[in-house]
Amino acid sequence: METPTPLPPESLYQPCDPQQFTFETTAELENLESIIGQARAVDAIQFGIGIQHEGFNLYVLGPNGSGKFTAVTQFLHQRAPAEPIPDDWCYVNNFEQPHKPHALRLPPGQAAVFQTDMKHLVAALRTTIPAAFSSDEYQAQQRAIEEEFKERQNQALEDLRQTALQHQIALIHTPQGFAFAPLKDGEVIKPDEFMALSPEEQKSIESQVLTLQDNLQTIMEQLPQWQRETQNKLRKLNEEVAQYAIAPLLAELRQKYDAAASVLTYLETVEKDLIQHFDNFLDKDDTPLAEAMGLTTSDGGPQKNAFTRYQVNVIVDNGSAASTDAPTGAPVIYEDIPTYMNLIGRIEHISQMGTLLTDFTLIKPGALHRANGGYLIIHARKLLTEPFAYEALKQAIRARKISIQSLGQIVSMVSTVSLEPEPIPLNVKVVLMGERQLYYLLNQYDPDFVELFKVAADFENEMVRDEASNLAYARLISGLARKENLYHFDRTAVSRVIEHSARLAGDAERLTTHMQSITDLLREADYWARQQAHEVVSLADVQRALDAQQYRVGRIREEMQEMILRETILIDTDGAQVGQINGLAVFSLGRYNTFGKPSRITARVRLGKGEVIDIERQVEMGGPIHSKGVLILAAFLGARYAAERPLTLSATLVFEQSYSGVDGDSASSAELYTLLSALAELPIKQSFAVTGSVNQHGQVQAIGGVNEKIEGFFDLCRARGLTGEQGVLIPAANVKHLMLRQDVVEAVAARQFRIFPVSTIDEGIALLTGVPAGELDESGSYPADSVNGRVTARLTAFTEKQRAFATPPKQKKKKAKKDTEDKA
Amino acid sequence: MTTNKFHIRRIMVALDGSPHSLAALEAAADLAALLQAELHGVFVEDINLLRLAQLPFAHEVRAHTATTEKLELAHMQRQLRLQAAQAQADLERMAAKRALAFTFRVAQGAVSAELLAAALEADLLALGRVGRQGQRRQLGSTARTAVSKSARTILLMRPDVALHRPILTIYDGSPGAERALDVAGYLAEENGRLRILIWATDKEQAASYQETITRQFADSNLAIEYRRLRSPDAANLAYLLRLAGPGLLILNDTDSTLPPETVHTLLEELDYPILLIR
Repeated sequence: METPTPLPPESLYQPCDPQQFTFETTAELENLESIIGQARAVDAIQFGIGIQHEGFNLYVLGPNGSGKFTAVTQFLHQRAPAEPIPDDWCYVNNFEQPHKPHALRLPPGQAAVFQTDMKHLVAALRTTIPAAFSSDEYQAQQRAIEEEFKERQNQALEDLRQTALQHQIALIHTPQGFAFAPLKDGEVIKPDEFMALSPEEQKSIESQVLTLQDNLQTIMEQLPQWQRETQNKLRKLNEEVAQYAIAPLLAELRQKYDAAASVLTYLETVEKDLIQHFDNFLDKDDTPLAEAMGLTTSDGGPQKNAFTRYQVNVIVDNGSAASTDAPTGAPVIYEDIPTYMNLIGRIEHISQMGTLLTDFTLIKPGALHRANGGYLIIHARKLLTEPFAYEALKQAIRARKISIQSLGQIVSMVSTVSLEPEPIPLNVKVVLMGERQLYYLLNQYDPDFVELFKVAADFENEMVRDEASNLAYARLISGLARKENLYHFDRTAVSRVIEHSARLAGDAERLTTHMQSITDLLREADYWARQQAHEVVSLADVQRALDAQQYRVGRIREEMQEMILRETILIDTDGAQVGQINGLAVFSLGRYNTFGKPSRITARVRLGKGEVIDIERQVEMGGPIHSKGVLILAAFLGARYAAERPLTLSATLVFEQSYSGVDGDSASSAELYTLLSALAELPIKQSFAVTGSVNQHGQVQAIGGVNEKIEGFFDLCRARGLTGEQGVLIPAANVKHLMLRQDVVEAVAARQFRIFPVSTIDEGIALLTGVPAGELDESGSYPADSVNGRVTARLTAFTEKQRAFATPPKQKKKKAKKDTEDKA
Repeated sequence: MTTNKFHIRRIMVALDGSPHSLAALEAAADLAALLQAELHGVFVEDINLLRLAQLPFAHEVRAHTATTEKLELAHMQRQLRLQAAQAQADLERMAAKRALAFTFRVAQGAVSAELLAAALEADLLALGRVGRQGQRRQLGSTARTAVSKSARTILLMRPDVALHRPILTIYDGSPGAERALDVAGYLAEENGRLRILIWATDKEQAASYQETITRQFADSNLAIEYRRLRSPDAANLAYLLRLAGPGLLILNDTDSTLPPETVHTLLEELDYPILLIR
């Protein structure tokens, strides 16, 4: 077995050669049309937008800042203008059921015109109807009808009066009605004179009066009937006059909106209602009481309420010349605050004398209305955090119509007057954008989601780094510089940005696709270039920006380093110790603040029942992956050294001075090394730090954050003084990920620091102890002075002692004696 | 102008609570204010009603319910008292509005006779064209009696046509017509619209009448419309007056060349307010 050699400096950093570029600055480059490195996602978006079937809505998944929104909007804005402009929608009064307003569909731009037309109609009627009703012809007809009633009534009474007079009986008007009185000499007979008459005469008079009274009563009973007839005649006259005044105006409108059947139907009902309510248009003395109580609004004048019923509430206006954002094709709407009401629309109320009232004019559109016939983009997380919004959106997509309901109705908490507007047919492509986790959660727990969002556009985190992608990156930088009004970047600066992109990807052979990080870096570099009065952003400006980023977020990192230097936290960087090793942990405190820090791991062993105790696990400070790593190393230990006998060992492993949780298996190789050191009683060189996970066969496997870990240990060593002995053991599989800081590369080149790629535990332990690991010989045992040999011997000793403890009492003496010898 | 010119110092208005009598009251009050005359109201408790109420079989048919109820004297008396009180309240209100001196009294007896008696105390009797009996277009019996039996100037009113509508009069050159024209001119000054029907035997005379009248009102700013009357028969007259539009018609029937039967037919048939100068 060969001992690994330190990596040469050129393995530690893969620079981007500025000479590969033919341009001087990015000003010479053209913008990148497509989205960089997202072929799969772009294909998915193209597919999802293009396919016209139910449920093929999109979920664009990827981390924040990966350019999802840009990609989607860019794509939609390219496509939408070529698509037809959707129709307009408006709500109008339902004269029969005012709480269920009708929705009218009109060709683009016509809704606003129709609204104005209706306004003009009402204005025109306010002059034509009063004119019709004040004409002499109308008044004459009205008087004639009223006179007819009076004549009829008078004639009936007069006839009766004459009949009565023939019998010397008068019809007399009493304060409350009519009565019949017998006459004598033209006057009502005096009571005593009447009493003086003979009983026959009295009786005759009485019976005559009775008959007359009956006749009178019959006439009186007919009066209401006649009155009704008169009223009917008057109403018919009014309707005729009103219709005559209204008809020509409506005919004009009918002709204009000939093509829209729903509008014609509506106009039909308008005509009926106008005829019924013509008196609203007549000048009346408005009740000053209502005005004083604030029942009328100032803008509409006192008669506003009477004419509101003929208004048109434009919900969607897709062509009004007045609106500046008039679409030239299908609308692309991004709803930044996707609350229930912002999506579905809402019904507002106005307060009148403490009561909440509403009508169809108070219906307000939501994003779905505006996006109808086009595209609606929503952030999934925002949508899910708004109460009822997600459910309402799904409901609308599935039902393919927008039904506005107030939230109060949905939760049945409010019983105020509300409306049920006629639902508007919905045809919209919804694009949800969000984190991957949300997508997978929704996929798993919401069956509707699977049905309604069939297309997933998955954004890549990184892309392959080669010359083509380097150039694409350069063009991307060029485009961003133009878009953001930044100085252009020269080719050294571009190279440095690309190198940093690889570092962000954590891989020398990949570039990040996290556009926000790159854009931020460009902006910051531009800032420093302007500070320095440069006209082009150069390498120095980019580096300055990176350094400044690190400096700004460096407080915690520096504080931790200081604690180590002042030996509050104990980390050795020289000497050798049994059962003690420097592990490496990564702290991630935000986007630009990821750093590595050494951490002391120790192991103690004693006779026991064959267990490896992970103290972190015991106190529940270790995560499951960490525990898994420990179990794996224990399995390796047992299988290699005690395959055919009991493992009579009890070992404890701990991260010293760790006060918060630990997770990940990147320390499992370090834990195994320190355990082997404790068992073999061989000291480990403290000038090394170790990272890498281990499998059950003792192979060392790749881990994440290798650059940060190396730099973390390097920083500590440099602060204490580089000896040339110090270094880091990393898994060989991680070598391709190395994009180390320039000072680390320089130190390695100067042989002041070393980085060893390690493939197996045996390679590692040999480096750490300076003692060969030892390979099995033909007899199946390890050389006695090798690490493996010493470990085997120690475990054998444990087993012997265990057997001695388990031996019956008569043999005990002999056993005890052997133990004493061992100790000596 | 003084009250002396028309010799009207006391105006008697007959009150019965009907819309016509209210119109008469309002017109009388206006006139009283204009002429600085006193206003006297009289309400007559109809003896016929009281007698009727005492008859054993007396019933009334209620106007608004069409039910028949027995009449009681006490009830009838109470009703009449209520009407009188209402009439008095109306009078007080009208008088107060114009700051007029007024009196009010209640008489009991036959309505026409009592009114004729009351009219003797005044220079002008104002009453409704019809009484409470209804909405006939013909003259009510009380008004008819007043016109035929009283020697006083009589104002017959109906609702909806106020005193200061266009003033209409008929001129035939007689002294009575002169007086009527005087009054008409005086009343018309308020709104400046006077419509005169000239009755003359020939064209020349009509023209001369018109000239005289125009001279007479030369200083005023009255808008005077003339129309020539070709025949003094009532039907023609009524037709022309209807053409002239609703307004207060001022006539003299005692000292005029118009046949009295024409005047009386006009009174009966023309449903306009009429001031009958005597």
